[in-house]
Amino acid sequence: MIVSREALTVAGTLLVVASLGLLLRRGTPRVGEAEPPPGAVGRLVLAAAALASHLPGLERHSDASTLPARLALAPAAWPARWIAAGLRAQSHSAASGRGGMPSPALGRLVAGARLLTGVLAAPPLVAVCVAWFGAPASALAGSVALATATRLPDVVLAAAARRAVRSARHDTAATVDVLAATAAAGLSLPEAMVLTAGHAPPALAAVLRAAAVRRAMGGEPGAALAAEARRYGLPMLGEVAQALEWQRLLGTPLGAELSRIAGRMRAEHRAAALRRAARRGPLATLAVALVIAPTCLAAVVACLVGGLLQGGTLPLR
Amino acid sequence: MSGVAFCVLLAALAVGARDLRRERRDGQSGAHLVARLAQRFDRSRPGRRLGARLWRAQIRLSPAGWRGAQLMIAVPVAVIAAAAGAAPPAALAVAATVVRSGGSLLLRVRRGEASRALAAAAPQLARALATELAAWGSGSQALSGAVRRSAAGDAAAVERVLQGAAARVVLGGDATAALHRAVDDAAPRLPPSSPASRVAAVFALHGHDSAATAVALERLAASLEADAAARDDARAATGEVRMSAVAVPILAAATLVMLLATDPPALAAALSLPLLPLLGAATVVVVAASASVRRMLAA
Repeated sequence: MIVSREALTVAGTLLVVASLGLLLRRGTPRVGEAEPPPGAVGRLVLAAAALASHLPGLERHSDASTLPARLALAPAAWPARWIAAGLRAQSHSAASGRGGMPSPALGRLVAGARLLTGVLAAPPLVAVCVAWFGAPASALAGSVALATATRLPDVVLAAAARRAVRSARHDTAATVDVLAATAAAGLSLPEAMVLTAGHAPPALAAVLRAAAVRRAMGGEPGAALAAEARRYGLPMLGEVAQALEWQRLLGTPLGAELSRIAGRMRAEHRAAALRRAARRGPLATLAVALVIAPTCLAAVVACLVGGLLQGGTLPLR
Repeated sequence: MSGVAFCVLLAALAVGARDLRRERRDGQSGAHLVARLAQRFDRSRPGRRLGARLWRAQIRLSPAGWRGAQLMIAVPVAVIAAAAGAAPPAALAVAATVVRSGGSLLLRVRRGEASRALAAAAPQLARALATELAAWGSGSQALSGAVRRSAAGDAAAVERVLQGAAARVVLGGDATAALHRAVDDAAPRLPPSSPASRVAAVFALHGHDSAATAVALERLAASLEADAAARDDARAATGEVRMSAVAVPILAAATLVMLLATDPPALAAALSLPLLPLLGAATVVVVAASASVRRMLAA
């Protein structure tokens, strides 16, 4: 029984390690990289999406409103990469004429990713529970793990999107600089936005691409950019939208105006960084003085006293 | 089987002696032979692969030089292992393992250095291109001119990018694509929003308006320098705390190691039950606090 317990625990641990390896494998986007062939993850997501269509609760109503923005904001997060792999596998199977699987919508692919996460997370826990606590507890733990793990892609994607928006605030000035250069070189506004989006962080790139699409469909440039900036939670692009509007109404040169805005954003960012450093420096000093130094001192003193007690040289009566 | 191995060894020795004789007859000394072997290794496929890894780690050694350095470290390690009582084959195996795994670990840890060097040198690249673009008005001429004018004090990353791009232009490539490819070659897996990629993107506008592009490159260089200065100022404001978050635990650890090394009863006490978990917990607390302090100041 002990051997089987150990074997099951080892198997569960290996499955956990394999799952974590699959989850944490990260690929950095590369300039000019060719489209990679669909991997095992893409085929798994596609198969899970087909299965998820028969299971209730995996497709959610809020997906249509929140998912596209989150996927655009955090394309490097693992749920987004899984969904991208599923889309690649789908297009590959359609192009190769196999077409064995139906073409799932984005929401169904996300449901597939949720199901796949649950399936990856539940068996290791069930294996460990079977080994140590018996079948009923393992069934309960497996159900809880499955239900919790299906939520994991949404939690990870939301957190990654929030992080992307936060980090985009630091890169706004640089992006506006590139937009100013493209405008000064005489490119049309949609062209300038698309070119700038190619060299911007994901959040800003998503806003610029969406605004370029709106502009190409006949929308006013300032209003398009302002609406997309609000949608993606990047209000600092409102000033750029205002500059676009002035350029449309008054004919002010866009390049110079955008350069001025970028310079001001950079100065604000610099001031904010210095303020943050001035605020966090004392906090960090406090952490060093109250946690790190006393703990280190306590460890040294404990060893010293332990040595004296062990050697019997401590003058205690 | 041993007879066959002996024959093969003799044949290898004979072939090596014949090659050496030929080299001497052609007027080559032993040092030249080593240099030629090193050059041949540098040009080979494994040598080129190692050269790319060395560049990414910004280690200024040729592949043959790196292997030579590894050999020079392996010999003393093997001697130490043999002196510690290991059998000669085991000592050699230990030295080879230590040197190979240590070398590849070092290359892996420093694999982002080329990207960092290129990011730091991006303003210099932008200025060089802006000056030449304003003078020539043509992207190809600007790249060739920037290579000709690159001085000895220029960053190696800038030199490599400009030389790579100019070589592609000489071979008939488009200036924009040549600069993009050269940037990608100098720092593989560079994100598109990195400073060097942005410089390449702005340079690509020279086809529309070269004068405006030169001005934009000059402005981009100033912006990148302003960003770097802001980062440096913020880091300088918290430099002492960041250092103390690392220095205090290191000093305490050094004190502890000296105490345990010189006081056997203290070592015995530290390895006994009441103190061992306490020391483990203290280590966890200190490492976590130090990491969180550095993280808080880096954000």
